[in-house]
Amino acid sequence: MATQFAFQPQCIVLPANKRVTLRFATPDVIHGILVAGTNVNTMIVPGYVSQVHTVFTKNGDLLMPCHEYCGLGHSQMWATVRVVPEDQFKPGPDGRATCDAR
Amino acid sequence: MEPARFDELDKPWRKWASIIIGGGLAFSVLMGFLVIPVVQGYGAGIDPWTAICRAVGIAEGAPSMRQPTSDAQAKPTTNVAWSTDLLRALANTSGPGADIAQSCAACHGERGIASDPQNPSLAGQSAVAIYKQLNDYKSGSRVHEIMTGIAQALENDQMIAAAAHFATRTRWAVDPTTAQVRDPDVVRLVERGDPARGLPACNSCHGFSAGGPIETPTLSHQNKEYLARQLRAF
Amino acid sequence: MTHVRGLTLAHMWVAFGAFAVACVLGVWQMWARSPLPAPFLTANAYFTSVTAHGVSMAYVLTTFLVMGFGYYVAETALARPLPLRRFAWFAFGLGIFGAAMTTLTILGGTATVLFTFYPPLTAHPAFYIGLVLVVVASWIWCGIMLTAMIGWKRANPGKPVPLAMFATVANAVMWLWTTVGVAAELLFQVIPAAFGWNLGIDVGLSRTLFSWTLHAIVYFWLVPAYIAFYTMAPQAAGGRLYSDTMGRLTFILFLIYSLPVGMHHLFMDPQQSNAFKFLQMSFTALVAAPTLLTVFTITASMEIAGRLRGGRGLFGWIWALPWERPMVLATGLAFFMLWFGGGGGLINMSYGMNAMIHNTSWVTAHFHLIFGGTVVIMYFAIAYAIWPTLTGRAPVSLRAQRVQIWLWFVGMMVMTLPWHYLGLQGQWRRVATFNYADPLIASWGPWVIVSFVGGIVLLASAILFIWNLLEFHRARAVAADLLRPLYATAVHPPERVPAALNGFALWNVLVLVLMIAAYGYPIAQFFFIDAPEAIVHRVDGRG
Repeated sequence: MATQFAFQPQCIVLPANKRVTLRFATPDVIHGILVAGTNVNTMIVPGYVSQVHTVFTKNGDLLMPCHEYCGLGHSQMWATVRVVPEDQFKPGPDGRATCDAR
Repeated sequence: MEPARFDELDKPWRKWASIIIGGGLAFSVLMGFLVIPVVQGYGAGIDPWTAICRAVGIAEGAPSMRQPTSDAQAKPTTNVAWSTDLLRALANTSGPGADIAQSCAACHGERGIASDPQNPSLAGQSAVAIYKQLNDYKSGSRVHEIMTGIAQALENDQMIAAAAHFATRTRWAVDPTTAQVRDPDVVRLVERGDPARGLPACNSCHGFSAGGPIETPTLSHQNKEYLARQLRAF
Repeated sequence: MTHVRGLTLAHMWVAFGAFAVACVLGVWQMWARSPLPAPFLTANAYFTSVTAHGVSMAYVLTTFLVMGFGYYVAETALARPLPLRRFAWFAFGLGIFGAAMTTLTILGGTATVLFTFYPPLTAHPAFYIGLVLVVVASWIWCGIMLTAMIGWKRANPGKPVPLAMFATVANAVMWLWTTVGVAAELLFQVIPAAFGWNLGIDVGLSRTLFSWTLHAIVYFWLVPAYIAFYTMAPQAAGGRLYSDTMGRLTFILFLIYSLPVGMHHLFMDPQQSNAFKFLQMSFTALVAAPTLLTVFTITASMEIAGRLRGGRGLFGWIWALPWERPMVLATGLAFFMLWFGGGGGLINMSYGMNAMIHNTSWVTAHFHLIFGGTVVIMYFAIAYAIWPTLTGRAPVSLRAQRVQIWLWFVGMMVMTLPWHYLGLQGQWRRVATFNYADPLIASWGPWVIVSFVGGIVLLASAILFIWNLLEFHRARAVAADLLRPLYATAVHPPERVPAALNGFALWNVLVLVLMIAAYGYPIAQFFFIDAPEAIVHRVDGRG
């Protein structure tokens, strides 16, 4: 979820070498994201849900900034995507796997 | 030259321009609406009709991938959902609610400037910001020993009316005991933020013409005990 | 040719004045983004500067230059006085008034929405109304251009319209078509929101309407440069235009294929579907054709000039060209930059590669190089070429003009090449301050500084440009008949061209068909899908 001026959650854990589908939405203004070093790049437009399919091939922490002007706080809006090997990907009972990289 | 001979030169242009451009259009439509989605869908086990509907945009998802389902539950931290109707209601100051707003003045001050620094000043807050906090108190998203009880006793319409009234009445009041900030570190955080800690400038939401979230409260001319307490609570 | 002198000069000075101010802002912005500490840097100041820089460069410099140059071409290429001169001055006044209105709101801090508007961020209504007035002024210009051409055709039945004017009117027709998008967005969505009559906006619709304008507007800016390529550069080189027909075809192809392609700015957007994105991508591929035609035709024209001057062998004609003439020098440097800028454009056009660079510094690099580089360097050359006629004076030495053009070229290459690289690394756009504590971002720092140095060189060039223009007023007067502007003659000057290459009736019909196919459903869908509207976020402190 992209909001002015932070992503919820600010850090997310994903498995490597598996097909993942990312969905994004925003309750306020236009945002956008890219995940550095990958082909994940999408606009996030209020009123619509964005969906991206991808496979992460390398492990590590990837920077996911907001890349579309969303207001004065845009410069400090970013999140982290933590890609872990498949066997280390253990989501909780509610299906979520968060980290505290920031 | 006579017009008839003019036309001899012109007709081929009309004909060939239309054929070439029309042909290009037809080719692009054929590829983009038919061939590519069907071929992609075939690779993913999606039937041609669904693939075409997805490519055109009348069905969700991509023509080349199965659409994953999810039973994830949203866990919103607030129950407020802004809509244009709600915003119009909050801008309406001619409805009932003057009497409820009057009782707010007991703690928050006649003109929104609280005399007891335990209580926040509400002067200068927008109706949208006031309503958001009242609703959060009522739903339990925000907890306070006194405000929770007060908010839970109010109906939604009453909260809207009270917020609209109180905001209008106290809009231009300024607490004379608050001072200008001079500390350069604070000014830096307010105007620039801190890139190393990922902090946006405070002004980017709380500033006068920031364009941030509409329910953002204004922080200027708030009494400092309350501000400090809230920052710690966050 | 006396009638449009004041009119053209007035438009040009407004354009170049806004340009010079915007250059200063641009350099400050690059300083702010770099690891070097910059003065006055706050989030508010940075984004106000970005808004001012964008509005000045994209709306003021361009529109006023196109209008001024158009009046000049209409009178000199057609060799008759410009019709409706009072309307032209009225349009100028309207444009100035609108530009001033918009500028005041930006300086007042009530319009930090950037030049691409980004609804639901909503500025003071005067910001938008000012821009609408500038567009209305340009529509009046379009009417005058059409009137001038129709009047000439009536007086010269059956004869081909001179290429420079044909291109100018093609530009005007294209502009009329393309401004529909942004006008609809502003009049029906954004301005009502700015006045507080709407509290929500369908952002998907507004982005789609804006995209309608987004591509053809850059061709609106580009056509004067191409007019210079076709009608002024061959003449300046001492040669002939290789093919008049290719020239006409080029401008027609721009008209047709620059309009139904705006969705390539929405490739990464969720509110439009794959099939329509593919359709508009196909047409975008076709809009590369007129540029390729131009590169070939103008290179051939230059070869004619070079060989006429004694150049021999496969490449000997290149050295034989009169590079000391600013128009020739600018054309050569523009073509060099066109390879990089155009190549980058081909990458942007390809959906898969677009995903790698969308909203990164690559995009910023691309449009600064192709517009700020190729097109603006020709704006300088055009100014140097027509200033003698406009002022009745000419400086003795053209050295300062050449130095200014070289500085611009060097600065642009130094500024934009690192930006391309950083974009591929993932550096994203519209950031006031980067977190240089992060190791990835820290690795970008040195390249950002290199870009910044390029920007400083550009500022030096911009200042020298203004100085050079002012120098004309101190230069000695030149006899009027020596200043008659000469347009290039074609190798085979046309005696009769088909109506399709002498007017726009056929092409307007085809454009209509293409626009309905490309934008019909993509816009209509917003009226029956039930997407929630976005709440208006005011940036002007009201409400």
